[in-house]
Amino acid sequence: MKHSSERELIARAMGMDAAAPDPHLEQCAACQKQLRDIGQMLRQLSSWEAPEPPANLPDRVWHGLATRLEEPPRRPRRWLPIPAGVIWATAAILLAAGSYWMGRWQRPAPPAASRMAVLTPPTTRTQVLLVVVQAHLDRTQVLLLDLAHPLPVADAHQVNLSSEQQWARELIASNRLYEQGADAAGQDATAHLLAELEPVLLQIAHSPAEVTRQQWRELQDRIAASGILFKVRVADQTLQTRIHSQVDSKEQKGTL
Amino acid sequence: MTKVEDESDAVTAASGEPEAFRLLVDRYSRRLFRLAYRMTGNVQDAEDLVQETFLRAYRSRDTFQARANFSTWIYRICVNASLDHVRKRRAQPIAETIDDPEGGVQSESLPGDTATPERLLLSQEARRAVEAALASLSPVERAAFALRHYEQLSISEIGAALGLREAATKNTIFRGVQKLRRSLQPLHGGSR
Repeated sequence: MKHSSERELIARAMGMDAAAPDPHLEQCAACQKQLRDIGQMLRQLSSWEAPEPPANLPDRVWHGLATRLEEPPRRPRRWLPIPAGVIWATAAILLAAGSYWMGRWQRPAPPAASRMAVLTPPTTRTQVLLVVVQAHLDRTQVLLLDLAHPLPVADAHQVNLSSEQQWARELIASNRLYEQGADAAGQDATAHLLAELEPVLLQIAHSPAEVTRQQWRELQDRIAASGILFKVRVADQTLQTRIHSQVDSKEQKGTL
Repeated sequence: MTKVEDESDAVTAASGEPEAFRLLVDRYSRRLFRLAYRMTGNVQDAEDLVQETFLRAYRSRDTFQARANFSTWIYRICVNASLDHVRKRRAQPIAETIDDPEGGVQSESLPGDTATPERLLLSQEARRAVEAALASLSPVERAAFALRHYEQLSISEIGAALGLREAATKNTIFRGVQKLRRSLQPLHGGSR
């Protein structure tokens, strides 16, 4: 007799899957007991109420917020006293030149992609690239933070890394794509960071699915030694600021 | 939260008017406070994080315009702000940061209980066990569990808030619940 898996019971208890009738569960006392235990544990967790927020919380939040909304967002320090327009025009020319050069050496793009490239101005393409890379770095940061979390003392000897591995594999595929895009768009710092990130993601993706506490710590140490989390964080913030400043400048010009 | 309310909030946020934003503060502060508290275990931090969430939301309102679901977007900002915060002080377990001027655990009796010293002690013990169990989760697991169990968000909404695909979101919740079971097993005696 095949019992229901713990995952099936958790999904049922938490209402995560459509509650289809389960003939085995209806007859199996052991599985019913497991389901009751999970339900009882969830009820106990429900009793852990967050304290009531202060009655005037919205007023307090708004009071603290109102003055800060007027502050202009912090902008990155400009390294060279060159107007932003000149920088973007140069970037556009470099991107066009890069695309032309790459086009000579690579297979021709599919017709739809070519039409899109013609219809989309280079500056827009770079902006789109920045937005998707920033979202990618955001997701990467969450994965690295998850792995950097100290393992609870009470936890088991073996740690299951399968979901992190799956996550890392998905990130690797997009990481390569964005690295090529950043390289072609002349976003050297971004391309360099993504190149640095790849071996770290590969390391996570290729770790055993079950690791010992010792192996988990070694993996954490290797990630910490690479300093990649800090670099990703800084790049993420920088891109975010760049994206906002571009939106602000468009707003000032009335193009949005 | 109905779809119409959510769309109306989306329009309000996209308008970018500070006074219109005030309506969103009124509507979402309390639930964001509860989420931030479940992530940090600290009342003052939770309040600061609510403010930080709205500030980030206001500043990035332009990136929101293309998105359809306001509540998922604001939850995502709150979760990210809370993860940043937890990372900064991740060495401290959640149970040590619960606000209590006496340095102990907040007393909380179960509904219908007569607050005899014995019952109070039992509920305090149970609360301590729950806090310790939640502290054993990674920040992402805690966020995923809180959004599902306490905020009743769907898997796709949690995935959107955490930047995870559906399978990864479910795995994160499963892993979290499995850890909670192991931590709370002595209280329930369940085994497999």
